[in-house]
Amino acid sequence: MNKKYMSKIQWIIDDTSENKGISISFILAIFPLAFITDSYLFAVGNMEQNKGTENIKNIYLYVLFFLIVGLMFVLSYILISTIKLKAPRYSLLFILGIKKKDFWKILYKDYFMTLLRTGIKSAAVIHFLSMCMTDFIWNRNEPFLLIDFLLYYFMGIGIVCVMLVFLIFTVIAIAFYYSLGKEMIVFWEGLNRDIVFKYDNKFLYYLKPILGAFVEMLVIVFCLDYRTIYYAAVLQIVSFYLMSTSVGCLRWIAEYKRKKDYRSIISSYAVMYQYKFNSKLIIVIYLLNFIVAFVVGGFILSDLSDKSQKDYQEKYPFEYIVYGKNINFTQKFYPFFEGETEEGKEVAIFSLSSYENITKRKETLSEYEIIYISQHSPEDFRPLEGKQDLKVFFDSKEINYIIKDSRWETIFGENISPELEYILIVNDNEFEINASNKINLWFGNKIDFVIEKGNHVWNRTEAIEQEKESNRHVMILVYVTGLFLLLESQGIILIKLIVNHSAITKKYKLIYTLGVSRKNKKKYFFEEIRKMAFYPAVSGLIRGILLLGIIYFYQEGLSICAFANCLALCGIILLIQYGSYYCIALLMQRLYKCDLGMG
Amino acid sequence: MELYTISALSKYYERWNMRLRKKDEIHVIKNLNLTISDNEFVCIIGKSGAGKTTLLKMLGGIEKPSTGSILYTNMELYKCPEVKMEEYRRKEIGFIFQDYKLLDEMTIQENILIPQILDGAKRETAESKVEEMTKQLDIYCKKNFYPYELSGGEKQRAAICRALINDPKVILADEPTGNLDSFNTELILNLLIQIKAELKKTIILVTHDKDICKYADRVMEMETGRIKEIHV
Repeated sequence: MNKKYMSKIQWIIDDTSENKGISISFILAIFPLAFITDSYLFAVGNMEQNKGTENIKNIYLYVLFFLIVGLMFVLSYILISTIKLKAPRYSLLFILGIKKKDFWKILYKDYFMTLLRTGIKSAAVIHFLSMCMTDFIWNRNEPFLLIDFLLYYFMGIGIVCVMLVFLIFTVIAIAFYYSLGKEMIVFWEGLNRDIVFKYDNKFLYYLKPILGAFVEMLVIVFCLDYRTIYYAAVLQIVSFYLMSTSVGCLRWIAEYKRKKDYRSIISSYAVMYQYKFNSKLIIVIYLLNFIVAFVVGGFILSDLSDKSQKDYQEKYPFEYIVYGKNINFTQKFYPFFEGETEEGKEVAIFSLSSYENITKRKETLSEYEIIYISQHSPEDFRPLEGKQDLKVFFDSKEINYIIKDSRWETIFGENISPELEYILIVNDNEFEINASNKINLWFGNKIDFVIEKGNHVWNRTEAIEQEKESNRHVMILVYVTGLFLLLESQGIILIKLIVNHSAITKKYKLIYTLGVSRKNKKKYFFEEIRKMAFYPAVSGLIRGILLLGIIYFYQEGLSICAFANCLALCGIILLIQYGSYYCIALLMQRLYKCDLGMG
Repeated sequence: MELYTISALSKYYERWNMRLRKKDEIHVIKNLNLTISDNEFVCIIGKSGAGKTTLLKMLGGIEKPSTGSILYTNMELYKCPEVKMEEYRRKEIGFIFQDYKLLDEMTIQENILIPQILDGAKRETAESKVEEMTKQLDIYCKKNFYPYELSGGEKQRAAICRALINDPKVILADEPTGNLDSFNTELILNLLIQIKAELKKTIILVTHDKDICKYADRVMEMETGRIKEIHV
């Protein structure tokens, strides 16, 4: 086909309002990933190497992985919606007699290139903004080099481009696969055919709410026991899905509202219609809100429960811990040697007399017997129940010890050093025989000797400062991720409305013809969006907070203050979402001003 | 008594002419003068693009004319406040469309109720009106059905019920039989005649089917935005 004609056809099937909407959806969807990628790159390049920052980097990696999976899902949703949106125009091309070969060229230019261009433009704007935001939020101390800036900038855009190319090709490949052996006109017409609203058959009409109610009861039962609470967390998603897609349930709610005020049928039936057709969207909104409440709320509770100075005193009993080889302490010190367990954990092996001296407790140990102590986080401690013996490797030797006892105990402090996270206590004779490669350790509240190079010094004040800094990082990260997850849900709502705009337009034109005022029409439109998206959001948030509250109650007991903080957070999230639904309604009115008759 | 007095009515759209690089005006209605009396059945016929539907929309208060005036009894449409126009669309006009425009998610009864809800009527009054109207139009037994469960003729009768529920003076019908077979076409047209005779309504019907003209009191033929002929 002539290139000139090709570009003319492409121009005919292009729609500016659609492209604008798709760009905005892209921006909303890509922003979270861009921000977290930039923050991670910042963390890698600027944070000092220590255990706290290692943890933060790990958290970043988890969040990044989670966001990449989420973004893949959201982008595929946008891309599939876009191909459905363009389907009527593609079927028209076939009706008008386009050759298959030419059509795939058109599809490549119109779909692949347009979307890729839109994606790159959005990513370019977003990455610039997110890099400025990263700089502002994380208080960069050193000046940022232009070369670094450009490197990070193009790396960020590159990630989005690779994902987009992969996803667009996947969507085209799926479309190509499904179109094989089918009439192309029928295939493309079928992609965006107006679906006729039909109720579930009688079996499903009653089965879904009954099953939903049953699963809901199971959720309540599972909530009664701490060990099964995570099953409740999964099952409540199933019950919400069953209830929200059950026409029976929706119809009962609409009928109930109608009994109270028959005028509500316009909005309540519209919501029922939306729930029926947008069940996937509803469950995604619900899930995103549930995750935000559960994760962000969880971090708030853990942050609140770990604040007081007394807690730090318990966590780190000594101001200084010093250890190293080939040093002579003038003060009293305790020797230990390093080993490795069969599970690959590093262990510090102390003698029984040292242990008794430190803890002022009497214990007895026979030959080849050990006490296994963990100083790692108490919540991660798993007693070696049922395990009779432990293989320990040191100085190319291998000894099979019998475990006398295993416990979590703070001797020097929690997580102060990888070498001291796990401690083994052995019989004094055993220690003397095997401790050829001794390390000396000293601890106390005042340090009055010179520390030589090569020795490890741990200081509580510095550790607490670092921990507070890490917590601040993690909290900001959690808040920002939560907020951005909500943005992604707004992106999905927007693209859904753009895809459905012809049905929406038809309905509002009719209502206008029947005599509703412009103002009320806008009100109905906003109400419809709000009700469609707001109820699942509220349900998700409330369920998330309730489950979190129950878990917190089992772990720490009832804390009104902590719970009130979480509720306040939910309130803020709802307020943000309420505002964003209003913005989406305004944006839709702006994009389809003429169609919606709202100009 | 004259219900509508239309004087020098025109409607044009502006379009950017890429070749001449200037704005073009596309005239849909050109300097139209017309009067429509109370309790009259007016049929507007013409080819596609003659401006029939645009005229109907302007009479219905949903498309503003570019120039000229439409006087409805003593009220000049589009010059009065927005609230009056809404009231006019709600109370004085009943619309019937070719594709019925019934909302899929609502039952027939609920679809018919919409104008009453928008008018702020009480529930009992509204529901009794629906019952009475559906009985008259012989779709009472289908009132709890959904649009997808009804035939084309039944859907159009439901749409007529919705148009009549607020007791408007004028019924504006845009190709109401365009999607129907000959049996249902006759049924719907007889129904409109009956409505005109018994309920004393003014009916303005737009069609391209010349066979429908025999039902009308007056037939106006439109061509390129002008009235070509009027047959009584």
